[in-house]
Amino acid sequence: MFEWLQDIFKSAETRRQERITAYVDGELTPAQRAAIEAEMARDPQLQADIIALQRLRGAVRRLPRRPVPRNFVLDPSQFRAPAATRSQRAYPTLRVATALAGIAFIFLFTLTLLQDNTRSSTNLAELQAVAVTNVVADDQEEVVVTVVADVQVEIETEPAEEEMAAGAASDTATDESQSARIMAAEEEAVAETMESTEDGAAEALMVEESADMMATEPESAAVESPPTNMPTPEPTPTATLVATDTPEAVAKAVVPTATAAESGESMPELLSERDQTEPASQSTTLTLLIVAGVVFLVLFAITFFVNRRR
Amino acid sequence: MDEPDLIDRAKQGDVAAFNTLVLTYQEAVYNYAVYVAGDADIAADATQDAFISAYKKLNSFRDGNFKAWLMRIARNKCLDQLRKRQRHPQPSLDEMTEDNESLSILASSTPGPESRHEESELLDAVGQCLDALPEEQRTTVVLRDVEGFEYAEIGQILSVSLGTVKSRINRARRRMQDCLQDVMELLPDRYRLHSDVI
Repeated sequence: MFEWLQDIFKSAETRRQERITAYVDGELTPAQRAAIEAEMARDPQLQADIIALQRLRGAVRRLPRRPVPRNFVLDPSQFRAPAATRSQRAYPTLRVATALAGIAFIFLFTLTLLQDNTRSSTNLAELQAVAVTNVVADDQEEVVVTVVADVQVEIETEPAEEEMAAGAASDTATDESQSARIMAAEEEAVAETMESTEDGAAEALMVEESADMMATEPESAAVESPPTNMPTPEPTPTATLVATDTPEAVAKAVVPTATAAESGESMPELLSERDQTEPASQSTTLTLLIVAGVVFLVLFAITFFVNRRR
Repeated sequence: MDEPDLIDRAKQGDVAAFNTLVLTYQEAVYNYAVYVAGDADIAADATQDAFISAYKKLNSFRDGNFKAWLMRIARNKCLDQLRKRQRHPQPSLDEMTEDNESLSILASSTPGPESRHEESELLDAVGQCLDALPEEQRTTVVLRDVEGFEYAEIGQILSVSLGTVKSRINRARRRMQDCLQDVMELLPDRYRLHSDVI
């Protein structure tokens, strides 16, 4: 039972004896055979051992063979053509199943790769957006401040507009005064921004506050603005100012910032949250990929062995 | 006889072609079965089972040594028979002796009453020592020395490695040498395993 273990731990003498036995049986390579014969010429005892083995082998060969007690032929009437074995019958099915499993694995693998690429490109775009946001942080702050200032200006100008709607006669004078007031408000806002840039925490606070304002502005504006027949000024200050006062990149960058501010979460948090929710289908695909891979390997192994046994 | 052609025909249901193969190999299979089983009746049953099984499984035989494939089946059938009968009989010395005499006449290179007797004694002793070996070693030696299989073929028949075949044959021969030591000393030099004249 453990002969393989004995084979490993054979002594040198045992190996020598086995080599002699193999020599007698003609199972050595020409080189091994030549080595034994050279050794035989030097060692009479080895020569005697080999002759003894050859005689023993000859004696065993001369052992009488028993005649068969009867013929073992088969009766043709009792035997039909030998049937295909179970493995032979199963082989075509196994082959097709293995091929299908392989195709499924390749398909799922490709799908997984595509999903990864899509996801990574999306992440890259978002990361670029974040990077742009950081790069234009100063501009953005300025824009946000401008937004705040304009909102304030707009709130202040709304009564004027009301008056204007009520029948103010001099549009030009009002416009000039409004422009002047807007310019003044903007200058104040810029001045405030310059002051606030000295402190990073203050900057963040400013951005948050401005974002909050942007988020709540329509409501507060609605509350603060007196009832009037005038339609609500449009477009909304935020959208208008951002779109008109900043480059497109900034506009794009501000939107997620504002969204993040509205939800009270930072960008990394949003990304990680999306990472948790988005790849549900991706994990399903990955599971299917693993299952298909395992099934393919198992079927391949079975088919291989069945093919060998056929 | 074209053996591959017979096998192909047998695979297609030609029992007569298979029977030709049976007649060719039945003596070898039966004698091998006797050494494996150690009993003539068990060997006969096992041989019959082996040929039936071989015909039914013929489609599973691919290129290779058909005789070795038969021997493998025969050995499995012998072991099945032994398990079935729940006994492990020793080979009958008397039966071996009965058969030896006639065949040893043919084997002896120097015919004559005295020589025949010595040869018979030698073969009796060899048969006894062979039967005394463990089944694994005995069948390995028989496959090599009686049936003439190569080591690799023996490994296939017995489902063991080449190293195991070498070990078994070596151990079996050493045991037989020890077993025959006393008998050989009583025989003339030409029958001794170890000759004084080198």
